[in-house]
Amino acid sequence: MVETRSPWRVTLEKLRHDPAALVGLGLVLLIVFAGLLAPVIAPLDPNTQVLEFMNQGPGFTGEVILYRLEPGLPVQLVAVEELIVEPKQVKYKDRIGRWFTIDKSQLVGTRESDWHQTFRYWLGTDNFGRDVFSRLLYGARISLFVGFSASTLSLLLGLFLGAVAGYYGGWWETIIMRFTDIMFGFPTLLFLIGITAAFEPSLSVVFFAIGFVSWPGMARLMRGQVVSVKNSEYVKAARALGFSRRRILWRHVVPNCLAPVIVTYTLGIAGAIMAEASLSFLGLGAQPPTPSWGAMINAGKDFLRLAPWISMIPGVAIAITVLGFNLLGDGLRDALDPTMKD
Amino acid sequence: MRKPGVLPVVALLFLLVGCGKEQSPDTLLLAYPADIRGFDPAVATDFRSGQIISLVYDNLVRFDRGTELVPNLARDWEISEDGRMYTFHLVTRARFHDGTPIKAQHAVYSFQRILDPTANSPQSWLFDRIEGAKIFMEGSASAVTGLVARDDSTLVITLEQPFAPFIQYLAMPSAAVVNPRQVAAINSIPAGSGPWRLQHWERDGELVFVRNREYWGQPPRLEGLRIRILSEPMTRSAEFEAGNLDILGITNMELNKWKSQAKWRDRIQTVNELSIYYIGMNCSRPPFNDVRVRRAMNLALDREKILKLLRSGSGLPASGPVPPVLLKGPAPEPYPYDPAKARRLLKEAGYGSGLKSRLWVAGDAEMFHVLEAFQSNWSAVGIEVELLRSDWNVFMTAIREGKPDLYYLSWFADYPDGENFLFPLFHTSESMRKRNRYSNPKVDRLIEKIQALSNGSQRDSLISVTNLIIHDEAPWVFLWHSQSNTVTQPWIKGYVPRLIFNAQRYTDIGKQF
Repeated sequence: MVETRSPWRVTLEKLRHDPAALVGLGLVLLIVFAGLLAPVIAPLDPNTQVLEFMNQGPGFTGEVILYRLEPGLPVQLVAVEELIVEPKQVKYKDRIGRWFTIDKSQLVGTRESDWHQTFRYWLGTDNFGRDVFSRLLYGARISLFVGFSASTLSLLLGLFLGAVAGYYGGWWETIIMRFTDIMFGFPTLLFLIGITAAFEPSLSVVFFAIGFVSWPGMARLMRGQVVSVKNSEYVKAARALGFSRRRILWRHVVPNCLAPVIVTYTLGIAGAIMAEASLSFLGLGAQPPTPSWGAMINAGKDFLRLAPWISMIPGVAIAITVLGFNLLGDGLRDALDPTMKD
Repeated sequence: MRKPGVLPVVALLFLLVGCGKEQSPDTLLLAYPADIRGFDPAVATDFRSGQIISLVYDNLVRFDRGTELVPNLARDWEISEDGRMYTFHLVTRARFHDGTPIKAQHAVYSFQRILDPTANSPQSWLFDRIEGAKIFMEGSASAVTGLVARDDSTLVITLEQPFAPFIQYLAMPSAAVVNPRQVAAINSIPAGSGPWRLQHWERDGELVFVRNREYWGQPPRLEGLRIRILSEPMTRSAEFEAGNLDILGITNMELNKWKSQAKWRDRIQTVNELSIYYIGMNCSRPPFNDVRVRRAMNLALDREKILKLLRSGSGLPASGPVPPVLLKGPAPEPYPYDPAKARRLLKEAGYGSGLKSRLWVAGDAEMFHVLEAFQSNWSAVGIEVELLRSDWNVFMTAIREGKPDLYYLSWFADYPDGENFLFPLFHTSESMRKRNRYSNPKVDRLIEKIQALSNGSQRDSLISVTNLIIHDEAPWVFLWHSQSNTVTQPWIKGYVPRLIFNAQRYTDIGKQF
């Protein structure tokens, strides 16, 4: 009996022996888990401010009390200088010397250890005294959301248009590919800025814009693949069996073109994450206080002389994420290429 | 405390901006965060254009270091008993940059130019109280009857009604005297007579001026003045530290850092600016047509802490629009930080379950660096505020059209008078047309009375009363009256900051290495 291995298994096998790809995969998984588990890992809400703690370096610890005015309203953290606990209320002096009184029912939790805590800010605080580490974790969600959704949108558009152009040829091909050429003619970032500036800035505008701008590469790749596959033996066979053109295209041609598409998709995620960060840096993406990495770098740029970590830490996070997706994409390219032998 | 990691970044910056110190013993080196619009006084409504216009033009009168008016082109003047007629006697030796002697007729020409209906100047309000100005503006008269050059050196201005602030209007950038022979290209080439001449203007790059050797008054001590446009605050600081700038306006974010350095501590000069920073609330529609909501907005904001921490304590918490320096009567206490009371007021007003709004903002980084703290303060009492950052022109148009429910803005005095913080901001005719749609007949009557009265205790007490009413009605969230902090290089001699924005002409500054 002949042992058969599916192409996917072969690919996985090859990937396992590619250290660079494994590092890439590891980094991607790290970021994905950081994003998914943000609410569990993050010590603080990403938007909770303690102004007294602003611009403090990595490792800073601060003592706060936690309260809210009423159930349902956001929890407030206040830095206390002096604290007097009375049976029904607590009195505290803040850093600028004013005394305030809080009713015990407004405190978070029941024991003192619930509402009187000391936090360690592992990666320091930003210019509003927010926890950079917590913001970084929540920022991973935004980057990944935009990265995956924009890249998927561009995949769907590019795959459909490229496949139709390559398989049907003729006028369809001319129209679609000339349009693709026109799209290629625009400088990407400028085009993105143009689109996002035309709408009110928000994350959904950003991911649609990135998706709509980045499909031409995918379309061109797909068309080339389809053209090279459509005259192969198995396609001729399918045609001889009388299958409809649509069935041949989507069931026989497209699945055989997917390997390079997957590579482009993976690299596209890295590109989309960069694009989101650029737009948010320019103030056209995520709006404050949303902790997007690009927006964090922007917020920190005026404090580079005072608190460089505000900008540097999200910068490093972007670099790691993009590196991860690029290494993984490169590894996949090698692994999916049948001409490369291990 | 030295923070880890700062040094390498700063070192890198120095590398980026270049290491060489510029050798310019005779040129004053300055930086502005943005370029000016142009040199035409008729359209100068912005702060920076106004500053530059005062370098290359002369007015009839100017402000000194503080709040006093001093002679400029007018060597002296008289005001008639009824407060309507102003007679100015002009200096005779003054000349424009092209050598033309300045006469009273030039002042008449310059002021009519602002009123000219075809010029469409946004500053026509400066002169529209002059007798005959309104008919002239409609196009039915060829000259303004109340604006007469009696002879070459005597100018007589007659107003329709007595109006005390009028003489201060004459020190504003748009009241500069222009040379009719040079108006053709006035926006790019100044047509004035000031102590500096424009040598070179590279848009968004730099403005270079040279000393006007033939200046009829006291010419500048230095040969030249170079103003570079550097939009990033960090670049300006790094350039100053490298010795490539002589005077630096310190941003509030960096103030404590500068103050902590022995080298600079004693070289910082602080001025209480005649200004107010505020959030305008649209009073003509829900939710901010309800005074309880407006007071809640004020009570929920911890202005004291934000001012102290995010603006390095550089300013005074505001209780009303008029800065304390201009208030000679009783001033209210600022709204305290009382989120519980804010919450009660919101519930009374029917917004217990929450309130959503949107704050418009435009301008530089410093404006933006406090907003998220406001957002956080308001959200603690159940007011969710989204920030909408827009382009300056879009922003100003939106305010004029009454679009924003909330907007963040500042107001700097054109002249040192409490009236300047009341009429243009709260009088129905202005507020309903251009600002946050506040209208109160009682306030209108008080402001009109203030305008008609000449300086004195009655006028002072009316300004206080109006300020109190506005505090109580809270059409704004009153934030703070700002301070400016400037630091100078050790070789700079004779620099004195000014209270009024266009009073600084850099003529008495020297360099001594």
